[in-house]
Amino acid sequence: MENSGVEILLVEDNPNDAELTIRALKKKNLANKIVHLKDGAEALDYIFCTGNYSDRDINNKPRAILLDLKMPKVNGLEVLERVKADKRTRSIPIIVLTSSNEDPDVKKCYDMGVNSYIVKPVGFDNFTKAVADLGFYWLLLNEAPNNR
Amino acid sequence: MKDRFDTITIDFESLFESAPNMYIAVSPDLKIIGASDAYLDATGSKRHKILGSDLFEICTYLNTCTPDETSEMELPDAFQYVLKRKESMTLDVQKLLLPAGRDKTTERYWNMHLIPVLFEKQQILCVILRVEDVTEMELVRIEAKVQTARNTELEAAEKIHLRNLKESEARFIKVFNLSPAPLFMTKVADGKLVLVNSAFEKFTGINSAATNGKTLMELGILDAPNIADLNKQLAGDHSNDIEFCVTTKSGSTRKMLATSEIVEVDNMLCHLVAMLDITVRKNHENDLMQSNHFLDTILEHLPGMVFVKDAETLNYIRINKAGELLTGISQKDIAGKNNADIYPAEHAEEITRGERELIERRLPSAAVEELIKTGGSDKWLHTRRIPVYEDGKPVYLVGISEDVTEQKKQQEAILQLNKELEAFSYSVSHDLRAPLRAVTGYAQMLDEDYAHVLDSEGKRLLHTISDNAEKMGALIDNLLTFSRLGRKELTKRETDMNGLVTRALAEISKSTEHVATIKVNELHQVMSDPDLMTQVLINLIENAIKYTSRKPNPEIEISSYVDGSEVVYCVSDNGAGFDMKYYDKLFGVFQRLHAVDEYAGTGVGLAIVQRIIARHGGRVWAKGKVNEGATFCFALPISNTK
Repeated sequence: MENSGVEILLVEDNPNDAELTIRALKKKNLANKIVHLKDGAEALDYIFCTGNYSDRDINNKPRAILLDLKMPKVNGLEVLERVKADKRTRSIPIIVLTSSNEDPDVKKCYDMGVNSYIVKPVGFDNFTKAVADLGFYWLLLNEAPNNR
Repeated sequence: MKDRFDTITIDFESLFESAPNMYIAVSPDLKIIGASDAYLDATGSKRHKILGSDLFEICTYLNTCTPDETSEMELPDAFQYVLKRKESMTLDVQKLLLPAGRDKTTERYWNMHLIPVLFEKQQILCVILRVEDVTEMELVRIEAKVQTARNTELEAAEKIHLRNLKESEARFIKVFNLSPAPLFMTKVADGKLVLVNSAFEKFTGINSAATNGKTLMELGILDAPNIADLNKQLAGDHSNDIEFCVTTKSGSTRKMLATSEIVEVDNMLCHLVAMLDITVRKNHENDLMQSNHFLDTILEHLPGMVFVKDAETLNYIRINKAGELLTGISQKDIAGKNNADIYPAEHAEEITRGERELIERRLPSAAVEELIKTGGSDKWLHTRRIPVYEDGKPVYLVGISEDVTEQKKQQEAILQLNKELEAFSYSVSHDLRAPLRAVTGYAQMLDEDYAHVLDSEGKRLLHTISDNAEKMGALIDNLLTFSRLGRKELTKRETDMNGLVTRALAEISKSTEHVATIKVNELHQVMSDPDLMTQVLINLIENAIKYTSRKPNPEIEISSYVDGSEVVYCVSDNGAGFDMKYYDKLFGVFQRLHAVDEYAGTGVGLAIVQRIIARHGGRVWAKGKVNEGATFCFALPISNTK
């Protein structure tokens, strides 16, 4: 189980949103391990094993990244760009979190290789749909029974 | 007696010889026995050479005698006659050729008198030939004869000429009378009429008999200033473009154009004048001049620039005052200027190319935006160019330019404002929602995790918090939709409105349950943005459903009709209706005519409808009566171009 370390990486600066997201996902036992990072800079350190996360193994990839777009320091688009530009991380599925259907950044994200987005608050329903869009049923199916 | 006779004889001989007349004396056998000096002189002979010689042998010229047509006899016969009959004989006007120097002869006419000299009245002693030279007389007579002959000829010619003249005059009179143009002839001397034609009679209403010997003024055809004017023009060099005014019998004043010619009639010099009534033409010319002046005035005072260019060279011909101000080039300097003088170098060539294409394609241009060089700051123009053709050939290119510099600035300001608004909307959507999410989310957490410790009042308060947070979310959504509509690009196409209604109803049924009977009539097609139009229908139908929800038999009808250049669509219901006195609040943002607890809503729906229709160039309106339903209509232009 090489992926047992991290199931889902949540990059979200708003603590309330983060709490609601984590609560919604955990409540349905969808993720047994969620790593919550507060901004894009921390997310990049984590993903690329730099800074505070330099002792991490880059091959220990999260199963999916839930990425907020509007964040201080490094925003979601920059994180997305870096992850998609790197061979080692390109395959990690990314679900973008946005406040509005009308967000023009969502279109940019699609252009940059994102296949799905969730309008916050993140709940069970819209998370399931986003995962379905990505075609990653296994993310739910594989892990959910183990932790039930 | 005998002596006396001898003396006399001598005298006679010398007398004979020295006589001033021409005499020659011959014996009965025609030998010359004497000749007067005059005769010798006239014939160039010597006495001693001819005396004793035969008359006809020595005087050979006598053989050239050709008698006059009146003479009965030739000279030799005359001698025989005289010798035989012993009577005098006269041969009148004998033409003969006298020697005159070497090999030359001269033609003379002689009257010859043969007189026998008788001895005792019995025997002929000699015959005296007395010659009278009548050459001068004869020549005069011949000349007179020739003259007479010539005169006869001339007379004959004159006759023919006269006949021709009469014929020609008859022809002239015929043409004169047939001419559709009024013609008249006046004496140069006193201006009295000599002749008028029937067209003149008809035109002036005056019988030709009444015109004879009268002047045009006496007949009341021309007044004093006009006659003076006419006479001045008749006397002038330009007798082809005479213009004057005449008064007809009916009293109307007509403007005439005339040509005149001086002719001689019965030894009188006359003006022959042909007139043409140019009143209508003149009036047209005046009208044209007036209308030109009128147009010129408009042109000059138009606030926009108007320019005229030569279609071939594309050089400017004229501009109006506004153009002068705009280009900084005066009206008198504009002639010959071209695009390079008006537009910045980088645009001039392209504009010239466009103009040529326009002339070739024979189409007026759409209004194009272009930058113009001016003395001071650059100006933006909206220019429309129209090629003008005469007889199918391009002659002018006319252009009308409007100074849109201010609009352009405002437009840029609006664009800037829109950008700011977009940023604002973005910020609203993100930043206002985050706390709202927290409110709803945490209220939900409280509900889920602590419901057991809350009493019913606590739960009611909690749900009120959640409900209001959700309403605020809806408000934010609607507001964002509304502001987005102002910026969204329209993509119009032929729209099947029935299809859109079906789509709208499907959309509504996803979120709203209702029992209303919705009657959809056959709807007209129109050019519109289908997505936005669906939004309009959703909002109107949703409203109708909402406000009929408290009626026992809610009914909604959707219909359309054509009104002039518009298609009008109406959604009517039998619901709560509204009071027309609040009509002006109907389409305002966040304006509501009903309490929220009566009918839920944010007050943005109709504002959105109005904005979408306005962006389509249409208009919206409504009719309603409290508790008796409402009808909401919108009209879209039929020729709704893209």
